[in-house]
Amino acid sequence: MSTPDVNDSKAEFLGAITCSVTHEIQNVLAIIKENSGLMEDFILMNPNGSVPGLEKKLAACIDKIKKQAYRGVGLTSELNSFAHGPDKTTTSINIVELIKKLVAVSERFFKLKGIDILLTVPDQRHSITTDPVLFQMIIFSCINCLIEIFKSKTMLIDFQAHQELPCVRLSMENAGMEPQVAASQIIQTDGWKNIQHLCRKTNMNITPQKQTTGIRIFFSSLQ
Amino acid sequence: MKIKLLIADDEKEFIEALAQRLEIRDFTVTAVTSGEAAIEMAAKINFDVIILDVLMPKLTGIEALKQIKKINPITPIIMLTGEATVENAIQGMKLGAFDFLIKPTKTDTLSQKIIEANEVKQRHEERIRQAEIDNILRTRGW
Repeated sequence: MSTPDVNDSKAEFLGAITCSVTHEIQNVLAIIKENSGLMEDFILMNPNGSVPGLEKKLAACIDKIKKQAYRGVGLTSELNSFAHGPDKTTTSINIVELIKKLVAVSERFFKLKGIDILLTVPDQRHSITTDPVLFQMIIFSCINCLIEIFKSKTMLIDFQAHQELPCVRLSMENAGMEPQVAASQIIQTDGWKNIQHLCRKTNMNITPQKQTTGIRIFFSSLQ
Repeated sequence: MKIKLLIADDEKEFIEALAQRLEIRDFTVTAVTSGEAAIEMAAKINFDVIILDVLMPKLTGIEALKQIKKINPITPIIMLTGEATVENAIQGMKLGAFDFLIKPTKTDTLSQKIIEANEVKQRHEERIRQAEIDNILRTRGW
């Protein structure tokens, strides 16, 4: 199987994330619409003060609208920050921060596939110089690759040392498969070849884990 | 008699507000937040109309539609969908959904659609009852 053009893959990745986040923004707007509509219904039902506890009911709707407005602001900020990724093709990135941003914008995308992602944030800051979008694509593709194989509901992302360099570790919780068996399945997936191709472009290395079920990504050089 | 509705959408606060608005419009509403819960409820209660969101985690609205149609083939199901997932809703129509509405939809439009769906179900049930009566009469030679 030939590897797809990187720019096409980038567009597909950015589209998938944007689609997922905007869908969630639509949900936020739908909640605001229904709660404002409910307030209107209560007011229309109350020409003679006949709705008991009207103030409380209206206050509950206002609370929900406020909460959703904050959720909407959070989502648009995350999407905006993510959309600035392609501004520079090569730049110094904070690995942990970039993964945090990716997890934030892709949360619903993976939830719809029944997966929760748990990220363990290290104290130390790790920076590399690379293409930020390609880096996020690699993480995203690895998550998709693991979801394709395992029935687990939780994915853990953490950071480990590998020959004095940090590496990103993606593991499936309770995968129900021996790591060795899992490793052979991982490298047979359609996505694996493409992930390797992306890693070569970004000076990263990738390997299935030997001790736990998942994938390790490590870096050739750090800043 | 009030129309008995089942609504499934994974956005809890959306479904709570929508359920209240439909109750104000004189429907009896049961709201659930997953496709699995919708199937479970549909197996227990004979709802007049069921409304399913297309995009739900784990079990999608389309999967839930297939399962519910096996349990109760004549209950009309309305699919709720976002603009981007209309194709899924059309797939739902092919699988026997009564209709689909694009979110956010006007509550009065939804209410009207529910009433139409219920009328279709009533007519269907009436035809089944009539066929049963005809069958009894025929077997008794009347």
